[in-house]
Amino acid sequence: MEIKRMMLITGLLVLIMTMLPSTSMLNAIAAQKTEIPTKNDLWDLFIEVYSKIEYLGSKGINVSSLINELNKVIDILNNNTISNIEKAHNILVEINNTCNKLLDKLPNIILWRNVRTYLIATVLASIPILFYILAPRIYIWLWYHFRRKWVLENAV
Amino acid sequence: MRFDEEVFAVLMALIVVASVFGIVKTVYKPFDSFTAIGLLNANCKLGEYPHHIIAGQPLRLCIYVYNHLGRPGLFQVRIKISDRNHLPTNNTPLNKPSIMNITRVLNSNSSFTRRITLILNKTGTNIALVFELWIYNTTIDNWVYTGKWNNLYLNITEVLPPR
Repeated sequence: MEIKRMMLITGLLVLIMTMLPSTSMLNAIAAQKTEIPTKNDLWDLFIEVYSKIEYLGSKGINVSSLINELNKVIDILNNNTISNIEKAHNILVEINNTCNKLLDKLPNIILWRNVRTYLIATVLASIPILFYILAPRIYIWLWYHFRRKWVLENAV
Repeated sequence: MRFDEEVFAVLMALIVVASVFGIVKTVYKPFDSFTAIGLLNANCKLGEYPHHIIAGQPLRLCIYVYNHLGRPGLFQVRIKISDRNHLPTNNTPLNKPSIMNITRVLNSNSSFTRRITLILNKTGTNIALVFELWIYNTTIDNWVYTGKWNNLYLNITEVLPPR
């Protein structure tokens, strides 16, 4: 009888223990609920975003507004409070999304910029050729145009 | 003026030269990349720097940084205290902890000027206030010393010396 009672109590205890969440689990749940990034996480994200901006900027993309936002994040991080960290995190996520969109468009932007550059170069290169072919013809046409009413007279 | 062969040749030569110049300017864009750091006075102007200050009194200065790397840069100005015998070089930074860091992202061809206020409590003569410019290198994921630095010698006393 005594053994049966002991076994029942032990069984109940094991059941309660397995049902109770551990401290680490509780912490994980709490972190999931609030999702407050640490300052180190934020710095990693900051560097990731900065790397993208640096790359975009090196490719000639106008990143002025993104840099202003990034500097805002630095200013916010200097006031080290939880609400500021959240605020900075939100700004960084926003900048990151914009960077990703720009990175997707980057090959297209570079292609059209190259097309524009080489088109200008081609136009500039064709100017001497066009001048060589057209200038004498235009000159002769103008010469005749302005003298078409001239009359030949016998000077003798 | 007659548009004879000589005039045509001269015009042709001028147009060819102008065209080549235009093409080179369009396609080839040389770029000298450099960074710069400058120390300015409390009014963010050059000159009239403080040399004698009282310990514990605020020292107001301005820091100027310029980015001409052709790409954005994450810069950090590290302010350190040293003496006349221990200064950074163009290759090695000062091996001392910084008393203040100023971090800023700068676009290409842009600069920033930041007012700073320092309170120095340690008294002494020829105390060197060193300003080093560092840049974040994304390839090695770390801060790198640019080799650019500035310094200001200070005599810090309990009271102002008589003039």
